Formats: sequence, C-alpha cells, structure tokens
Amino acid sequence: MNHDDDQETVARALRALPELAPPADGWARLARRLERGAAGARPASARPAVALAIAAATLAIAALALWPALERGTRATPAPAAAPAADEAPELAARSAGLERLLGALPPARATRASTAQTAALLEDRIALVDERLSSTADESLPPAATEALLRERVALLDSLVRVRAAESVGQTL
Amino acid sequence: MRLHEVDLSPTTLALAKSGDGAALAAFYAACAAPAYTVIRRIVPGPAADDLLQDAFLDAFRGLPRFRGDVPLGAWFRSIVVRRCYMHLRSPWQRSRDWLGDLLERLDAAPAAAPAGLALDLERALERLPPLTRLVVWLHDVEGYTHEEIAAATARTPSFSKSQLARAHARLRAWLEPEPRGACAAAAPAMPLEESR
Repeated sequence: MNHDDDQETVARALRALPELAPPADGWARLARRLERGAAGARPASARPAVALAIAAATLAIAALALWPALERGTRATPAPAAAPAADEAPELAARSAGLERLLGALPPARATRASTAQTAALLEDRIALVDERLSSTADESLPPAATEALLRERVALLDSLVRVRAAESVGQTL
Repeated sequence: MRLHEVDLSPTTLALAKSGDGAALAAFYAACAAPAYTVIRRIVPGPAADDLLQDAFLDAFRGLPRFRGDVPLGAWFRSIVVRRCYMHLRSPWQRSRDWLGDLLERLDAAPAAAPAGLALDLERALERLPPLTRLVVWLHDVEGYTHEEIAAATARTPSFSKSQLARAHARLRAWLEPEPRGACAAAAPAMPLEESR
C-alpha cells in the first residue's frame, strides 16, 4: 500500500465514524440564554473565568503568599546544561502542573501596560513552542535527557509568566 | 448529513434572521447533531457542550449578516471551527491539554497500545495533540484544503501538510496491531474500518 492509499484509508475510516448526539437539554439551555439576553451573557465556555474574576483579589494575594515556596522549587532546578537526574521528568511535570494551577488561579488581566502584555505574549509563545516540540516528540525515541531539558525550559518559562501575571494582577487589584 | 450540507428553507431562514424563536429552534434542530459531532471530534470532553452553545449564540447574532451565498450549514461550520480553534489556542487550555498528554505518556504510554492490541479509531483520534486533531478532522472529514486550514489556524499550508502526514503515520501505527511473535507477524493488519 502506498502513501496516498494509507492516507485515504485513514480518512475513509474517520469519515465513517458515527454522528454524535448533542446534549438532550441543549436547546432548552440555549433558549434560556436567549431569553436572558445573550448580549450581556458571557460565553458558556468562559464561565470558569467568571469564578476566577470573583476570587481575583484573594487569589492574587494568595499567589504572592505562595511565591517564596515556588521560587525555592524553581531555583532548585539544575541549570539546563547540567546532566539531568534520572526520572526527573515526573517531578518537572508536577512542578509544571503546580505553576499551571497558580497561573490559572490568577485573575485575567483587564488592562495592562503594552510592554507587560508583550512580555507575557512572548513567554506564552515560547511555552507553546516548547509544547509543540514536546508534543512532536511524543512518538519519537527522544532521549529522556532531551525531554527533561524541554520540561525544564517549560518550568522556567512558566515561572517567568507567573511572575509577570502575578505582578499584573496585584497591580490592578490593589 | 454533514454540517456543511445542512440548509433551511428560505422562509425559515428569513424568520430565523429576524429572531423568530421557532425558526431558531429549527436551525438548532437541523444543525445541532452534525455541529456537535465536529466539536466533539476536535475537542473531546465536557467543553464540547459549552462550545456548541457558544457557536449557536455566535450564529444567532451573526444571522442578520448571513448573505446566503453558501448553505447555512457551511456558514455555521466556519463558526464552529473558529470556536474550536479559539478554545484550543487559549494558553490555559493548551497547557492543560499538553500536560494531560504528557502525564498520560509518563504514566501509561508503554501500556497504551500493547503489542497485538490496536486502539480504536475514536481513542486514537483523541490521543493526537489538539491542533493536529483539528487539522486531521478538517482535512479528512470536512474536506478543507491545506490553504483553508492554514487560514483557519493562522499557520502555513506546509504546517497543515506536515501535521497531517505525521498524524496519519501515528494513527496507522496505533490502529494496526504490532506483531506478536511469529504468528502475529504473519497475520494481516486489522483494517481500519473494522477496528472500532
């Protein structure tokens, strides 16, 4: 079987997947939102952001309170050039998850300085790039050390992003 | 029926554009299942329900500007795809997806596809990275060209092509059972259509 046949076989199988039934109460929910006036309603998928906004001040301060512990954890990370310890990936992933949680708990920025926004965007782009490299190596036999180096880079970038976001949040909360 | 083929009668469409509730309900009834299918295939998980709601709200708001030069379903599909893409590209979502994928790999990758056992196609599709899954679904099922995918995802056609080629290779590897000893080596690969 040649390459084109392979691709068409996969495509044909995907097209043969069954149609999925939408939620049974879908129209009722939608109708309620229309009645309430969708113009003033936030998108349903953004609802978690509402809860975050409500807790904004508390969480921003909590982030600062947690900061020393996180900073210790991050500073304990070996330099990228250093040989990584064996099986360090789970620990790096856990640290990454902790930073993600903290980042997710910070209130979304309503207004910010252009330079700050640019820095945050740059960091996010670099994180995305690392993610893409990690994702693209999912099925390649990348040496564990290389995966760990990418994970370490991701933790460092997230660390910086948390600093920027936390400063931004505190700036608009206080 | 695929979403891009769905259409409403001119009368119902005119009523829907004016905000008539019954006509909007008819729009929902005609498009909900195919739209939900697109969303769930691209964004597996509970977020799909909310994305469906948001896509319909976007469409209801935009209906007065719909010119009717393509079937209503084709117009609505572009809204659905945009919603999915916006969801996937949000940094928080991207990170969560990535992290979940990573943790799965760390914890269970060796056991995910044991020798001789193929994943089913739906699970294999869900296992792809989110943006790759979007590219695969748009190209293989919705019939988007690489140029159209590039426009929808703010990437290049080359990116779309490379993502698709790698995704196909991964899907085939996951779907076809690995040889298990001499007997398995001689056995034919499980056809994709029968793997579900």
